[in-house]
Amino acid sequence: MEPEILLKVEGLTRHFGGLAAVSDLNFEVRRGEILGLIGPNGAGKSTTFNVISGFHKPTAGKVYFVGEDITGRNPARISRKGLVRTFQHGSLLREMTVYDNMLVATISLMRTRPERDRRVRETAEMLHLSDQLHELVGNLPHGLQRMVSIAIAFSRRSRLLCLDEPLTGLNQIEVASALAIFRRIRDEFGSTILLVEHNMKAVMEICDRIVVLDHGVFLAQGRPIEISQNEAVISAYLGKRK
Amino acid sequence: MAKLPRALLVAASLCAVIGSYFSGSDFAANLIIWVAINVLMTASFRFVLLIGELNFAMAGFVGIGAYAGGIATTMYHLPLALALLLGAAAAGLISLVVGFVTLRAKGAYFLLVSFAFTEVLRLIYSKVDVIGGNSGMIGIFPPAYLARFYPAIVVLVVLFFLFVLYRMERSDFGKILVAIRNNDDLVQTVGIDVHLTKVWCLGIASFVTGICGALLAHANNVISPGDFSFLVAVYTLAYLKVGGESHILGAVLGAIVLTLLAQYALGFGAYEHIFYGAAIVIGVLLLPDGLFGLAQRMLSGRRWPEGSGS
Repeated sequence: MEPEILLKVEGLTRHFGGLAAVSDLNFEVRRGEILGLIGPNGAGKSTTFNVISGFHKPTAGKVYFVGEDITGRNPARISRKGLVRTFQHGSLLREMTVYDNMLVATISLMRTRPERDRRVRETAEMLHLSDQLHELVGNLPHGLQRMVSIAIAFSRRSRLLCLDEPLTGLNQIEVASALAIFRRIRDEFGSTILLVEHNMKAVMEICDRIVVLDHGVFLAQGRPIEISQNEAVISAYLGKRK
Repeated sequence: MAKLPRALLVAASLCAVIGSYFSGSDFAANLIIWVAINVLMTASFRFVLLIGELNFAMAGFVGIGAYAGGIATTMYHLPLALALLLGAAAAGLISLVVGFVTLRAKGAYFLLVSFAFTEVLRLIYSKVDVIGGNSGMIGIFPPAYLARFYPAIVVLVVLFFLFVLYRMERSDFGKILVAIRNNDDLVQTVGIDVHLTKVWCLGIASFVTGICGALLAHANNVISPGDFSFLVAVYTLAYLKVGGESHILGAVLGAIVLTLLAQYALGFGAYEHIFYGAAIVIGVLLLPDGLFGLAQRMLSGRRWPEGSGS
């Protein structure tokens, strides 16, 4: 059975003044996969995220989510359709408790307090945050803060989670536990994950497919093993071999 | 916060209501009214601060409430309750429109726009002859049979709206407001329309501010454009900084203490404003989280750090 296409990016282009941050990008995310979006710094990964999630309007191109054109819609509407993203630098409400961080995420989804409460507690359980529910997020150590930002996104049980460098600054044990959680999110809840990440070991380990960008241009796509042996990808990261 | 103060609050509220009914002199009655109105204005100013914006348009909305209430009473001879409601509705509705346009701006930009709004309104009042132009509106009295009860009415209305604002802050809607102050982009990503939420926040606060204006108009009996300059917002900011921002009781404390102290500042004549400036500076420098923070530390019995003297 051919997997259904959840997100489709067509000819996506975004200029900042004279700079083409992303040009003519095409790729798709299939239901139930973990897709890695990688590339050297400045490749246009975050810009792609910003356009997909509605924070930037594209200069040209279209974004389709579950077959529907969501290009240029506002972020809140895109989120309510089932596409939620995190930010590279802290998707957190720092002056609020872990509980309230997740609670706010469920408000546009559920009508009553008890429903929201149950969802928050289930999510906390799964991400090992139950003991920290009433701590202020700003007081938590970095590793737990990263978990909270994933918890915020995950508490919506969205169809597509777009995670922007969720593993930055985590130690090996925390990375392993985060990867296990990503797999559970996918396997038990049927969510699809689009992952931007610099930790290559983790990306190679968890992704089903990888899309590589360089200087705003599509470079390659394929399974991790193919990408790791791709000449163009290697030279983009390490420079040309003489 | 400890649960203890609840009984204390009810008792204090009762005292305020009963006390304002039996207040002998006119001066005492007026003082109670000013204190009560300042309390509510500070609470509504703080409500917009929940989304992180310093709302200097607040002074303008006090004016709208006052003029709308005044017009209702002097020109259309409507009952007091209706006049108050009209003042609130006028301020609330206009703020929705103003907020929709201006709340795209944040921080210093919103502060400047809201400041400009207040000053523009003041100029408009002074140019419109129907509402008295520069010399203002006179003869805004509560009905004679209510005059005796007016201070108690003001206190009751203020208490009611304080309670409403408090409940709203504690609700999930209130949590969204604080979340917007923390990280508005994140709030968008969880499906909440940040702009509309901010507009509603300003609308609710301005509705309450409008009530304050209408109450004030019927207390002072005379209003003029000069009463609604941006200084009203500066005073309110002083009340809040001295009282403490972290809890609505901080707004209450600050407004009560400073309004009473300011009765002495009246003697300074033109130097009166120094009093408020000094209050802000002292509050910010010496009282982290204001009087409320101080009270909280004292109630929770926390000692000063070792070695800091007696």
